[in-house]
Amino acid sequence: MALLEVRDLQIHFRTATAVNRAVDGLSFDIEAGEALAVVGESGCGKSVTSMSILGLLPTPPGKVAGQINFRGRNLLEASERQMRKLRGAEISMIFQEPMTSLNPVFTIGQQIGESVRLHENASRAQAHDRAIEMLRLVGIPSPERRVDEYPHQLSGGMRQRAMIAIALACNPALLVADEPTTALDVTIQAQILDLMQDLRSKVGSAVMLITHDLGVVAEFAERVLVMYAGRKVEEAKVGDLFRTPRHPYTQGLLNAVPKLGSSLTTAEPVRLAEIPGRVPDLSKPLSGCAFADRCPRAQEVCRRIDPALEAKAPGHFAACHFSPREVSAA
Amino acid sequence: MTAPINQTDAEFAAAPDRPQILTPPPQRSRRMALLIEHPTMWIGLILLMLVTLMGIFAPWIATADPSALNPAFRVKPPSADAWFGTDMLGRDIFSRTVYGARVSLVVGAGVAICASVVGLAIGLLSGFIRWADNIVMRIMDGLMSIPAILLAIALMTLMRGGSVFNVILAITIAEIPRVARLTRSVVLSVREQPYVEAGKACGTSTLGIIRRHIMPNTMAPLTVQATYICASAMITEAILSFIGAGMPSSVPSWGNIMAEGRALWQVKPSIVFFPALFLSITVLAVNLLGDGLRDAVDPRLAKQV
Amino acid sequence: MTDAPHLIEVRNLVKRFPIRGGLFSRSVKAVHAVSDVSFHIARGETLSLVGESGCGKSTVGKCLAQLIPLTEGRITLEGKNIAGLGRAEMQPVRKRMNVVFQDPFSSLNPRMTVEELIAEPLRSHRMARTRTERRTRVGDLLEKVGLPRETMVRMPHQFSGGQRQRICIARALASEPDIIICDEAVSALDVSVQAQIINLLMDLQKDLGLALLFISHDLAVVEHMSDRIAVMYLGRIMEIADRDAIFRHPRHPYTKALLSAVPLPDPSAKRDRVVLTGDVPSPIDPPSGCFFRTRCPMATDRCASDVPALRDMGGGQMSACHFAEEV
Repeated sequence: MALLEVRDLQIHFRTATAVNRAVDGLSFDIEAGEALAVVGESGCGKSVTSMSILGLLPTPPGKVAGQINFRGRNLLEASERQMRKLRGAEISMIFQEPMTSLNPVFTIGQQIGESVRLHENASRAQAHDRAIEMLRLVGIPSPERRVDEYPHQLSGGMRQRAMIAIALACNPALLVADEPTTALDVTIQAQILDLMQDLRSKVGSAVMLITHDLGVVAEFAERVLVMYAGRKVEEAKVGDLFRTPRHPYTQGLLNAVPKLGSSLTTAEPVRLAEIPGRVPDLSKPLSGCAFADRCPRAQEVCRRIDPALEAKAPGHFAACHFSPREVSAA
Repeated sequence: MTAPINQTDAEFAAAPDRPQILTPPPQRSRRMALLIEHPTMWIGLILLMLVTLMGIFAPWIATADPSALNPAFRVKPPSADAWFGTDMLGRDIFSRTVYGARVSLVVGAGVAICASVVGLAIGLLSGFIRWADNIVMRIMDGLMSIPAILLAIALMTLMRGGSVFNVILAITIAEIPRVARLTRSVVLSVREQPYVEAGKACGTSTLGIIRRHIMPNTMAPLTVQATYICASAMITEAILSFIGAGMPSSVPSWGNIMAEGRALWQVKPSIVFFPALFLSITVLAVNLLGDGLRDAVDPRLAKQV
Repeated sequence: MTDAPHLIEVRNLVKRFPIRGGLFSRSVKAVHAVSDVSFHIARGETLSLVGESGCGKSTVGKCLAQLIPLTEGRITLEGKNIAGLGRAEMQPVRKRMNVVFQDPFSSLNPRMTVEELIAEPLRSHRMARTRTERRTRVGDLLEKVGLPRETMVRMPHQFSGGQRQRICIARALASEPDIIICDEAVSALDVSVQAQIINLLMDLQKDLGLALLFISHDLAVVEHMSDRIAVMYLGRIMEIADRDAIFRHPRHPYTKALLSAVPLPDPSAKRDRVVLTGDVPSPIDPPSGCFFRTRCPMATDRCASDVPALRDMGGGQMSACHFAEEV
């Protein structure tokens, strides 16, 4: 049994005029200790998926259906009280914007200690010691001093480290990181990615990394899940995905990113491969494949029959009628 | 890559169904949606229109001349002849109340318009010119530290003599600081918007920036504010007239009618009751309209992604 | 360097933002946003400014576009000084340069139609006098950026982020400028749309002979777009050179670290990373000597005392490092 099993997850939102199908029929697993990346462009449903795992979506206007089984228990049926016990202790989350997710009126130490005291019944002194220990672990210099500082006294990179310290304070089994480095500069991003990789091996948490940055995926993840318009279009080991992307959307994405060092080979400027058009409106019903309108390979059948996710190679799944299959159904 | 011609639909693997988990909201026309989402606005608007019609068609609605004295028929309770009764001079209260709507509406609308225009100008000025800002805003602070009603009384005293114009002027001066502050705050936030910077980069002059970028953004909050000012001006006018500092007593205004009934209100409450009721309804209507407008123009609600 | 003046020449640009405090709003300290920056842009050329947040790259762009006044220095357009001009004298300069900003959502006034938005520079530069003339121009511009003419009657909220950025580009092109300043113009866009906009900018540049000042933090995009690149750190240019020189053999430890920090979309590429420790120092109180020395793996005592000047390393590659030869 996987640590987290998501089955047929649907997250819909009702607006004044329509129902927005933000996530529509998503299934995936995360094994214990694994690093899974979820990539996709804005509006593909990757962030709401992570919010739904922690039970943080406002319902209504949202509605979540399907199953999110964590250690075999369906979180969608858990009470708010049970979820509170789980959040921070077994499943933690890191957000994109460290400044807004830290509470400005409490010290860093208090915020790290809070979850320790809440979930492990630690005393104030124990919590304080644990906070210092965590700050040292995430590489914040002079943690004895920093522990009593407020978020605004830390730099952006330091704040993200503090966020990670809070998230990891109770050794969670699953860490959900929603664009954890997007707001950071490249040199700081490199630090944070190294830190997360390092901590993953030390603490042994599984990490679900939500990002739009294919570079970050390649550096960090073991397995990748590509989302488009609320659906999973491809899933594979990171090496396989980058070597042989099997869904036209993934191929398009990989070709559209300018790559460091790639333009130097030619004197004339190269055009980037574009994906024409724009993402479909999720508040209107989609027939067939969600990517059909932008897909270079689309045929008439793609607009009629919604392609199922099929194993195209061992451990490599794609939802495309015309992506060649290397194995006969694994 | 093309599909083999002989491939049938059955050979394509179809994804499992994606069931509907939320019932779609009912499809309504925009007007219906506006009505259903902001019912208070419509209630307010309808009430206000009724009062306005009453004011406009007062000569036809009134059952008697509002100033006609009838000494033989004084202080009568409501009856079939005089629906709201008569006052100490025998004047018909129903007719006076109907005519009183005119004063309230004119003063309310007049103050709302004048205060908005002048306040907008002052707000734009202090939002754009740094050195003027300090001076103008301190004056506004000073004006705001005096309760509006006291300020209006003082101004009425200075102007010696009530007339619709003087009442509007006095209340307008008392209300200007609120508009000026609101406008200034909008200006200060809008001028930091990247689209204003983009406008500057396009070579648009400062006046053009104000006219094309800043002013349109002040309109929505200003309209909402204007309705509240209208309501508060109606109350202020009634108070001024009630204490004898407002409209001349010959003009039937709701404040005047109530003032005349003041001495007798324990014995004959009807003299005070009816104008008070109409005043309350009108002010309520304007406030409802303002609340509805505010909800309708509030970007957080209007966005509805 | 040729004798003819460059399109844009920036000499010793300094921008300080005073921090006011105390009883009478005296300026007590200053943020040193840009210190002693010089560069030039030739006709039809793309110069990129790269660096991390707070390095002053956007401030340089804003000073150049005269959106904020500069503290010291000289900016010339074809040899004529344009710094500190009055409004009237500035108008013809504004016609020749325009800006595309980062956020396509907030840089278009939500209450104006696309036609009004794109016509704004036409109006202020009195380029199309009649309404019909303006309409034709706006329609042409929309087509130039890949949007149908008919969309001019719509409002900005009816467009996606990428389409809005196309509208911004159309507006920037309206006054037929010689140079466009792109301030993180593609940073807020999704990958697939970003590729569309980058291609559009490059096509337009080729067709119209535009010069671009491309301000970005994304080195891969910069590599793709630029002819020359200036790397900034804490308000100073650390290195400025042709694209190939910067990416093939950087001559400044900061450039090197920046390049090695970019995550590559290729899991098989394993590199030796120069991971910089610590954070960027405060621009209110920058370190003595070389601004980068507090994080530099090569720093010595000399770096704390002497400010390194930009030195020519050959082939026009300029590096501000005492040990540029050893990098």
